[in-house]
Amino acid sequence: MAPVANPSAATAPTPLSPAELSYLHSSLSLRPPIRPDSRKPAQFRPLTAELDILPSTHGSSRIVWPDGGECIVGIKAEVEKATPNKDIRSRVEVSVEVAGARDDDPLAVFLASSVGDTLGQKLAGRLEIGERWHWKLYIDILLLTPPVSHPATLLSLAVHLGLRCTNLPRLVSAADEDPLFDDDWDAALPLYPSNAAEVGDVPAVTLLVAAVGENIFFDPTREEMAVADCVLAVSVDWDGKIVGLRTLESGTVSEGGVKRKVIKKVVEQCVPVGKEVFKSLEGIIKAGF
Amino acid sequence: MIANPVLAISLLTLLCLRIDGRRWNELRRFHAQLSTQPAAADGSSMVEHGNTKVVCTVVGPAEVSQRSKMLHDRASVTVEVTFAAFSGTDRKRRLKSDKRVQEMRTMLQRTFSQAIMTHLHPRSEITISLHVLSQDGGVLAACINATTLGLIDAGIPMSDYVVGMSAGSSSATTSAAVSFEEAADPLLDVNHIEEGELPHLTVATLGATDNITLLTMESKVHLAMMEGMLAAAVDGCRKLREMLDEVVRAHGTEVARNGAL
Repeated sequence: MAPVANPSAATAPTPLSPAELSYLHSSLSLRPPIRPDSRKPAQFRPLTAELDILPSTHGSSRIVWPDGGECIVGIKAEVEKATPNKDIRSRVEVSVEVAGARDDDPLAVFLASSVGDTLGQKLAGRLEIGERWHWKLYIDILLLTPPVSHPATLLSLAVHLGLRCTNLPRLVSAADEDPLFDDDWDAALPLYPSNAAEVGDVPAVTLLVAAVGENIFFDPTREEMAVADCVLAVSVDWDGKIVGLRTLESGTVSEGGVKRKVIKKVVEQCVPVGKEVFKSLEGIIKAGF
Repeated sequence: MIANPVLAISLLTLLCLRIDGRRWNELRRFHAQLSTQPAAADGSSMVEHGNTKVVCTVVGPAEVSQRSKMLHDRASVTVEVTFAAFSGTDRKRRLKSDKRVQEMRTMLQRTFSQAIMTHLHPRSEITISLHVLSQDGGVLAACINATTLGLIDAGIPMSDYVVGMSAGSSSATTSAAVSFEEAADPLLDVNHIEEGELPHLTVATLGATDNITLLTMESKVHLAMMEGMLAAAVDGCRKLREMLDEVVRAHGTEVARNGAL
């Protein structure tokens, strides 16, 4: 995918001086590196997650980060008549609203398109109803506070959790008839069955990775992103496939750009870390039901 | 439990209960929380009236964002209201330029500019942002209560709690011979279905004084029914003020126990 011209312009600049940035850069380039919050390179910040919080949606979730990032996802489905020769990806519509920003804020537009791309065709294939109809899924994401660090990971995890707890009414009519649904909400079927994880068919997640010298850091904070040589948003699937890769921004300390070798290392590390992330998401979902 | 829904509904009318099983003067389940986002804002709160859910964040008093907002003798109050696209029954994106949203903003701004002791923070700005996550009637009332709690959490001086409450009036079911005054039956804290069917109003009062600081009604209604609705709403405000006070005191005790005070 093409690099995007600084989509994180909306995130607040760091208050650090050039000397402090340089100090941070060198402590991150040490081997082993020292992160300001003493996390390990592949360790995420602790987060709080809630599932199924809104009664008027088909599925919803809320994730809060300790730095104040809060994101609420609401998923609603509508029945739509299938039009032949139409891209099935149009069955999923993602919109992002950033509090305090305008409706056409570049960050919101970028985040919406990146979430949509990550989910892609796999999700759209789940939305069939019979032969002539399909579900249209609206994924609305609300970023409650102007982001302090880049919200790509926050959003992607919240969307994953939201989709996993989405239920759709059960179809009672035959496949070739006009659709008729069971009006008992208790009989609704989950969009992703509870064994989806064992089959490996769950929505992909996007991880943010920062590279400083030879070192690679997951879930970078705003300060770490400011000194990184390059920041990548990597989308990984359950089975370790990379489904998307974007460069986000490079820091101000070095002259920018990284070698091919670093990108390779990032991608290689994303596979095991992605596995860990999926495992903990599974834990949240199990605890939620 | 009664299995037959038709029987259940007729039973409700027989017992003079409302569609969700409440009596005329009962509130919906009320739940409120303070400091929901301690890191992101100076004050934050979350309020639920039944299925209506509103989140509020307060920033300030801080330096004004635009010079034009600076008032030399008091603080300016800015309110932002956003409706999440998934908040209603049908998905609908409401833009910030929507007339209704703008009107709500102005009403809240006017009400809270009075209640906040703005003269204590001249040349600064207090920004209140409200997110409606789920709407099931009484959205304005929920917004008012969420803002009050958010402002308290931010430690902004106010003269008293501003408490919002909605009330409706069930239309005359008895014969036309009875006067409107006797037939009118006020209902406290209307939900979405009642809002669609019946005339309703929203009232905000200033704490223990019972002084009305905000009153809005958009439905056509006989003058005689108005008084009953207003009385029910003001009474509901008084009840809710105690509930808000309890929430604030419980939060204060918790903060004190954690050693922050």
